Amino acid sequence: MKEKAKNIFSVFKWGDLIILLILIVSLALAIYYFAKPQEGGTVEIYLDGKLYRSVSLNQDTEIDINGHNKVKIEGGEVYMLYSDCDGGDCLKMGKISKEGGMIVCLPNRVVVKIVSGDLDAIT
Amino acid sequence: MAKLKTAFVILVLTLSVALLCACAKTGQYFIFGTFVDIKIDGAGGGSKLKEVESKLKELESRFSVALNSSEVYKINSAKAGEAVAVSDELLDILKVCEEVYNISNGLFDITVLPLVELWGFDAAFYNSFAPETLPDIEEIRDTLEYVGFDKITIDYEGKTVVKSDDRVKIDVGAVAKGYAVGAAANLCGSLKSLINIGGNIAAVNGEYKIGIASPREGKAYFGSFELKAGQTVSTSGDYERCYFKDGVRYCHVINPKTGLPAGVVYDDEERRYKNEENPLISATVITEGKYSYCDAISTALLLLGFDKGEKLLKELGLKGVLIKADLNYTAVCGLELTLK
Repeated sequence: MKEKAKNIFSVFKWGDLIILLILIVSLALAIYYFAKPQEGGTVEIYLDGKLYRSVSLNQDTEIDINGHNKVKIEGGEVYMLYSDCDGGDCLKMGKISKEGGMIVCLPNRVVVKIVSGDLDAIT
Repeated sequence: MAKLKTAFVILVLTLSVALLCACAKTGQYFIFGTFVDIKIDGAGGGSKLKEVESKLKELESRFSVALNSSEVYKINSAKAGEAVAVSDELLDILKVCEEVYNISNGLFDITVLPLVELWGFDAAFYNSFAPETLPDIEEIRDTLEYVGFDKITIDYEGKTVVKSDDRVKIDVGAVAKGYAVGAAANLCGSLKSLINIGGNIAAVNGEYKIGIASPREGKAYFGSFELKAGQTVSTSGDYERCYFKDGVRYCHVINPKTGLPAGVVYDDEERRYKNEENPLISATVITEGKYSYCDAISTALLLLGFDKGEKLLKELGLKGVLIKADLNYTAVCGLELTLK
């Protein structure tokens, strides 16, 4: 047994093992946070078809989208607080709170939607 | 020993790279006036995603009501008697439209566009803005004169469409999204993928947990079910693309016989529009493949109402869920729905 332990330490130095440990712990944490379904859903903001920000619906915050739009999350509801687009249709779309709910600002190519933690998609 | 260490490091790096490559590739787009969400697993997912995106854009440019280069636009601006040449893809769609028109006793009808526009649901409409004035009932009755699938003649061999009235206009929006889902699913081939075009969803080579949107406030979603590989699902509801005026809900699905939105009736005595008592507000249908058909059937169900809709699902042997305004529901043909 002692012989085996000696073998491991002859291949890896203490420093190597610490780095390995840090890597494993960060990987485990990353998997936990990415895979964990969030209660109450997640707000995803897309700009030009690409994910711009992803925030928990439970986290009250204001998100600025390149100075053109501002999304507000408050008390489990999401709405467009500000937009410099013509018409401001997105500002009139009201608040969304349910999974599958969506606010779109076509001129600025911004999509805000609520995705669920435990579903693959909503029909 | 140093060799063993190098080998170990290489192994870890290789595994990490392999893990990254195997990650799902996702794409989000705004096509067909709706949100498109595509997830493809496995190697080659990235390039496949690009292929799917360009295919969807091509289909949109072909079927759009608004783009003046589209085939649909050409039919809509054609004169009566003029033969408009159409592509095989549009013919495929028209065939499904004709089939579902017959199945639904004429309630699913793509010539409903003039009425859709009259109610203010044009291509630019997205959500919740009520027009300043509602269309007059007389105006609706006049428009009904040139609404009807029998006012277009489709020559499947000659590949043309002819209208019998200048004013006839079609909108294949109620079936094109389903068609596009099918085209995307076919492109994915053997890769495990999930295609979602505005709630028209296909499960390709994998099983996915799908939620039915909650038609009214209160729940995050109504219920969920497993969509198996090769299956597709579509939902039509009165809560999407709708507006309220004087307490009445008007949705974008228009009945081609009455000229009124689904769930709306006209009270001749009070001379005003009203919502039906406890109407069907959400209709979900699941089919094995047959993507365009699935999309069209869900629209037909919403117009048929709860009882006739349930009967039709049973006759066709299709799984589905129908939800009424009081949130009473039925799950048909053995669909296992888990309520939220």
